[in-house]
Amino acid sequence: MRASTTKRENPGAAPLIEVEQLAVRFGAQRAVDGVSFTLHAGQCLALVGESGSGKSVTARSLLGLSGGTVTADRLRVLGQDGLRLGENGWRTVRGAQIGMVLQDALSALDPLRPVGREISDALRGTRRAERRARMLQMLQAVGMDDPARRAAQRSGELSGGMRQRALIAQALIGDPQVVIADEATTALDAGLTALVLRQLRELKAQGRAVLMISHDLAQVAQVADRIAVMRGGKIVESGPAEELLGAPRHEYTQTLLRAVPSGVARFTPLAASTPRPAPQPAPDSAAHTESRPEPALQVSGLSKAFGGQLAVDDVSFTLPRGATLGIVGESGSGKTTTARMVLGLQRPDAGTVRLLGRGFVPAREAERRPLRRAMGAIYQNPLGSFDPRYTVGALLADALTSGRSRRLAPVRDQVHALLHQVQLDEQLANRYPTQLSGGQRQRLAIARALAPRPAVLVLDEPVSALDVSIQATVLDLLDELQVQTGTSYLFISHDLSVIEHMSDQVAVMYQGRFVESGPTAEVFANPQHPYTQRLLSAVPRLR
Amino acid sequence: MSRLAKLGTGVFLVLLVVLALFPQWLAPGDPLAVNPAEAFQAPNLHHVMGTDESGRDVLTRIVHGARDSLFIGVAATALGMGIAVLLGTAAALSPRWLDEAILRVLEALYAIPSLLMALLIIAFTGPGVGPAIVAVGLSTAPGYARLVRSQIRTLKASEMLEAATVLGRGTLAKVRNHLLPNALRPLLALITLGVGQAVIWASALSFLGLGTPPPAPEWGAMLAAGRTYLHLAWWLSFFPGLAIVVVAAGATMIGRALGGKVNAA
Amino acid sequence: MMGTLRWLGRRLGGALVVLWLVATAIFLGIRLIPGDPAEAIMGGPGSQASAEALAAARAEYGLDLPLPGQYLMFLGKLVRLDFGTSYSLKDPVLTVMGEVLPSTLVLALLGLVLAWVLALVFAALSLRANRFGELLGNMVEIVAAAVPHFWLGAVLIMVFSTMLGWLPAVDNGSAAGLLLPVLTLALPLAGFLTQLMRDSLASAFSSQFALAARARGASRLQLFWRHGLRHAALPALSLTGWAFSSLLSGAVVVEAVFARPGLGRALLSAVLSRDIPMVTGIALFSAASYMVVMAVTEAVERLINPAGVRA
Repeated sequence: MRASTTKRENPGAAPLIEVEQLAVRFGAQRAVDGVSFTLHAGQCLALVGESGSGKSVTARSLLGLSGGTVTADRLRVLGQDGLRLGENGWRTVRGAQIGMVLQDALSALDPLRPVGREISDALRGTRRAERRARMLQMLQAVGMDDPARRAAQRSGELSGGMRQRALIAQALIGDPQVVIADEATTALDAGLTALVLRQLRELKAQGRAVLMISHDLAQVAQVADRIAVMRGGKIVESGPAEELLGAPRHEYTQTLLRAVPSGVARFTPLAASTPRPAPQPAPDSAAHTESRPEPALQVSGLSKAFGGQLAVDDVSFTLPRGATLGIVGESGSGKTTTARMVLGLQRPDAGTVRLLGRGFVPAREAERRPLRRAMGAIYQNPLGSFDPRYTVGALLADALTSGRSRRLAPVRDQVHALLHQVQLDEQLANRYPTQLSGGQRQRLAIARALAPRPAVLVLDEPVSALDVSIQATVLDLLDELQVQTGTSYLFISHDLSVIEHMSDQVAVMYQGRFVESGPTAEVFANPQHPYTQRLLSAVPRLR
Repeated sequence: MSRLAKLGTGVFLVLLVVLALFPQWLAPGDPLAVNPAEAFQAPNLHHVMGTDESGRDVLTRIVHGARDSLFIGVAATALGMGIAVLLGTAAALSPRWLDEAILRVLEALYAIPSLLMALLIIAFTGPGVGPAIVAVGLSTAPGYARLVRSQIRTLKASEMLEAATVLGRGTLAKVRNHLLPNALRPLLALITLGVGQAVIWASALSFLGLGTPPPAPEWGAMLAAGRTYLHLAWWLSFFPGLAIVVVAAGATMIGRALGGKVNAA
Repeated sequence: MMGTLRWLGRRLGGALVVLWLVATAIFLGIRLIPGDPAEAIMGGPGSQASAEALAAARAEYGLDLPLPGQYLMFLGKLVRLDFGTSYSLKDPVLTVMGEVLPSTLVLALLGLVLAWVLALVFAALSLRANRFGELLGNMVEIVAAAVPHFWLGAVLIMVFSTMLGWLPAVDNGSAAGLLLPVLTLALPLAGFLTQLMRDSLASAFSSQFALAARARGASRLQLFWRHGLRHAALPALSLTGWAFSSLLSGAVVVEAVFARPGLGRALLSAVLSRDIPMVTGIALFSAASYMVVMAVTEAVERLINPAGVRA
């Protein structure tokens, strides 16, 4: 499919980049299969897709860095024929004509070299003194305080914001006409994401062409003039941003848009494959609370300091039966430490946790062990929590027999029932977790956690490592299971839209404290605390 | 590792064990039989690896020597690994102060390299097979102890064990079902690598005259004897050394295949 | 400044502890030898030491004192760097060590430098995606783990001396005579270092910052120089302490194979004649040199990597 451009600004201006039927092969595998688009000055094209879509490989082929065999009908890069450039030819393009910003400044800058050197490296053919002067100028331009001092520091010594500025600086110092941003915001928290998006818009205003690679439609909407959706190495749909987002034509684009949780009401399925459930009684309705009066979790005054630094500061909340409490915060806010204390994995300095009305923290492990079956945990990367020697079936058998046996045969029916419950095929019982996909592993983790029929599940960033469309199916599954079993969820995430969609009550965490909490709809519609307001305004939302 | 390589090393292992236990199958001669008339023969059809200064067939001696060299290697590794596993596990699972104390001792031991430590021990015990075993075993123990400790510490802090705790498993169950089995496989690799290294150290001691006394056909000793005749009869030094290299290389490749890494021991 | 002083203090303290432990182990070792301790010091049980020599030993080591007294006397002598007199050589241990040390140090240092250079070259070469590179990588691994010094030395003598006649087999004081021993020492260590450097080079080349550097227009050579080198050197650097002691260890064998005088030869003959004072001196020297090398490499590491990043 061709992402043809209608040039609004400069009807006569030639495209800076012209790509027609680009294909990149790695051995027999086609990572990119017939992609066409153009890039114009002052405009931004976004390549959107999930992992394996070929978007990054496409971007890198514009720099001759794809690492595979490249063929195309046309590959013109700022007037040069990309198909004929050798390594030396590409080196004149890189940095000087096309610059690239990668994700995660911490890993994109050599931790052993001073940041200034990384930046001035991009300048070639000028004398040392001049390179240094231009480098310092650049740092000033991107808003770095005290450039001379910062230039001598290494990336690990700088704050997140400073690192980000250094990263942009090294991409721009060659004054390239085209800038490629490859997942530039993926590892960043909300404030830095907003910074990067601002910088990209600024680049457009300066007259450069921007190619933005991302999986996040909401972020892309803030910058892109045109969007091309990629899947399996091909572009399935493309068009002006507003049009594509407002009225998507291709099925895949529709799936992607529907999968974004922001603004989607509670219990409305995100994936097309999930049937709409019948309306269920609200979690705190009489039907639930009558039979089981005490709340699932009562947490009071939880605090923990590490080496003098307060990580968690007087956190208290109540989790009712069958409900979901979402804790949202950025990295370093203390949410994981809170989760670990609630799970009894970390002893708090102060505070108590009552599980189903019984004392859980502080308590001696031997005393609370029988209670543990009432609380389970789901992690961001479940693979680490599985014993590598156990098959899928063994893991579930172990969970079902409380660790007594991992033989599949005696509990085969129950294991199959569990797999069924999380929508995994029975055949998978004989496989090892390493042979499953990310989404399947998370479902396995959920199945294992549910085996003892807990009253509470603590989920720490359960979908953050998953592609958006897979994320949608897992979130729907979690909803379904909650309705079926009445399990309460303590849902922890940095992703505002996921929290908004999944939680009945929400608590915003900042520097170890709950700065605001209450029913989700209220907090999101009417944030009271300045931090919450800042957070909500910094994060791009589609709806 | 390719399938062919795996097959090769498997065959090699079996062959080695057979050789060590039943040397007479491959080399029916007497390794100690002296025959001055045949001395210093270069490799030929009769004596594939030549003969030594007393007319003894080199190949026969090498095959019979397998038992001596391997015995010291295996025994020393057993001793060294035994100590390493005890110390390393104790350090990894014990409270901080004990862990620190054991670490200090290990660091002190680590400050003296293996061969020097072996020599020091023999200075006190005198030379011989027994002392050689003790010397090599004790001198390789600290390095392996550190590895064992770090492996167990990693496992102890792993999410796998945490998940087991959350599921309500007791300490004994966790250790038995998860910690030990997962620690065992890397240990196997380490032991295999260790045997390879121990054979080398043991031969080094014999080479220096501190291990198996002559006229036993131990490979290191043979090499030492052959050194004097290096200009005359290169085969006397070449083949015994080659045997050592082959055994050690084989052990390393198996160890690597099991997932180990050759490390500072 | 404070940080550096504190670090220095810690290193010094650690070194003293290690030396103390080694000395104590030797002290206990002497006592564990069955029979008369004076005999044990002077050549082992059943030694042919004369009555005067034994009496002198008893006086020097205070063997008539109760055990704690002996221990303190022993430590006291060591602190004053009085290692006593070598039984077999009849000279003060310190003098003998002073004579043989330079030769071994030269060997070890040259071996270290050569090993580093070879390792860097092998590591860079073995990462090229061709058959030669893979072959080199595998071979290097085998050499490191499986080739003993005594055999390597013998083979090198065979090839370069006996067959080709290019180099002398036995040390004759010339630079040429140094080449084979240094090579013998360096090759196995180089094999080991190559593996380390290869791993960190490979991970550096496949990292995000390498991609970013190439996207800025860096050539492959520049990538190696500016980025790869530092990352490759770091793990090898932290193992230099161990590498140096293993070189000392290897020197024992290499000096035997090439008939070179040196610390290794001295230690060997001391062990054979059970000359405890000599053994004590060399053991303590070895431990002390390890601590010194460790301290120096740590200092260099901090220069390259002040933020303490795990590269």
